[in-house]
Amino acid sequence: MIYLDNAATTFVKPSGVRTAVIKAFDSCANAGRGGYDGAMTASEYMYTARTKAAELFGVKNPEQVVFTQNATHSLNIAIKGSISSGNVAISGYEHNSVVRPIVSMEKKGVTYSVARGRLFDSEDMLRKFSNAITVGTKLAVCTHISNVFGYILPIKEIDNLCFKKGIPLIIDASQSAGSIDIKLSELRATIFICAPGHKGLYGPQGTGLLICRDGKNTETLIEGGTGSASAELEQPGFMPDRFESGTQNIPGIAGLSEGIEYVKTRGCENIFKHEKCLIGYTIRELAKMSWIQVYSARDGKVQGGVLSFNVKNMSAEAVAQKLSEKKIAVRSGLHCSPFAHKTVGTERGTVRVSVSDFTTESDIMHFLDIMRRIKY
Amino acid sequence: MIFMRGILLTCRSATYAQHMKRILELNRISSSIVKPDIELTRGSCAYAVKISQGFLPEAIEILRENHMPPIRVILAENNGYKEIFI
Repeated sequence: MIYLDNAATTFVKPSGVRTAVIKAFDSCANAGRGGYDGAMTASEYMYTARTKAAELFGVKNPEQVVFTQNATHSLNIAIKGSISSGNVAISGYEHNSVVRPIVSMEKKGVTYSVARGRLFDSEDMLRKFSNAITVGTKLAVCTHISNVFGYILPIKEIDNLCFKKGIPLIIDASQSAGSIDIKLSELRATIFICAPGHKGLYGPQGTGLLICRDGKNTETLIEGGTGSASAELEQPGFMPDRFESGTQNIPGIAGLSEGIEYVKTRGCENIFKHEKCLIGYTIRELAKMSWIQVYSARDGKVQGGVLSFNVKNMSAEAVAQKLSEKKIAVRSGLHCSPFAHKTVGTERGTVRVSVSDFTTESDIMHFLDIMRRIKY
Repeated sequence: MIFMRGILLTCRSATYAQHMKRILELNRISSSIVKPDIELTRGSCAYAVKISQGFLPEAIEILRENHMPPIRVILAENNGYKEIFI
C-alpha cells in the first residue's frame, strides 16, 4: 500500500516505536499506583515521555505536559475548561474537534465568530481574525495548519494579536506538531497547545498531548483517581494530575516517547523540508493535468505537507475509490472540517493527499502515474 | 515497621517524585523513589524520594533552586519517623 493519509494518522512509524510499545506492555503495571518495580517502571516511561515533550514544545516543567487520548481530547479539555460563557473567535479552517465542543456550549450562552480569511492569504487571515475578536470575546482557538488544504496559518501573528487584545489563545497543532517547531515559551497569548501523538509525532493511535502554560485554574473535563492526594474528594489542583484521571495508556505513551525522540533527532525543519519537497512536486505535476483542480498556495511558504484537489466531473469519493483499487490510500470528503470547505467553497469535498517523513519520492511518482490515468 | 532508613523527601505525586529524582541525579546525588507510609503524606497516597542523610543540605538547596521543594522532610530511623523542619 502507498499510504498518503498521514493527516489522519501516520501509518509508518519509526521502528523504535513498536519496540517501545511491546517493551512497555511487557514491563509496565500502572503508573503512580504503587512502589513496586512494574509501577515504577511505568512512571519512569511516562516521565521520560513528558520530559521529551516539554523540550519539544518549549515548556520548562514536564508537569505542564498532559497525556490525552488524541488532539480532540486535548481540545475538549482546553476549550471547555477555559470558557463557560462569552464569545470564542476561531478561524474558518477549524476542524470539528474545535467547532463541536464550542457548539456544544451554545446552550450555556457561548457564541463564536469565524475569521474566514482567504485560503493561503496570511494578511487577510490576520485582518479577519482581528475583526472576529469582539467586545465579548473571551477566548480564541486557531489551527496551525488546515487539515484540508495544508494552509499554514500565521499563528505567531495571531498569538501576538490575541496578546495585544488580552485574549487567551488555544492552538490546534494537529497537523504541525512534529513538522513545524512551535514553542509555548516563544508565544505570549497561547495558554494551551493541543497535539495528537499519532500523527507527526509518530506515536501510536490513542495518544495525544495537552501542553499547558498553567492549567491549574482550568476546569476539568473528567475527574477520578490520580494516585495522588487520595484523601481529598476534589480533583487535585496541581499538574498534570488535574487532567490525568484514571489509568493512562502507558504502552502508547512509551511509543510516543520514541516517536518524539525520532522527531527531535531528525529535526522538525528537516521533516518539514522533506514534506514540502514532496508536496511541491505533487502540486507541479497535478497542475499539468488539465482535468484536475489543485488547491495550492502560490507562495509555497504557507503550504505544509497536506494537499487537496478535485478531478473535474468526478466526485472526490470516486477518485479515492479508484486510487484505493490501485492500493493508494488517500482521504476524500469533508475531512471533518466543514468550516474549511465553506470558507473555500468546496462544500462537496476534496481528495486529500498528505505525506510524512516516511513518504518516498517513489510513492509520489506512483500516485502521479495513476492520477494521469484517472479521468472522467 | 521502618524499612526505609534515610531521608524521605515527600512529594505530591509520582510525576513530582520523578522530576525531583532527575534534578538530584543531574547534581550527582543518588536517590530512589519509594511509596511512604500514608501517615507521612497527610493521609493521601503520594511518593517520596529517598536520599542519604549526609546529602540533605545539598539536596534541599538544589531542589529549592529548581522550584521543586519537598512537601515534608522525614528522617526514617530504626525506631520511627521524625519530621525535619528546614
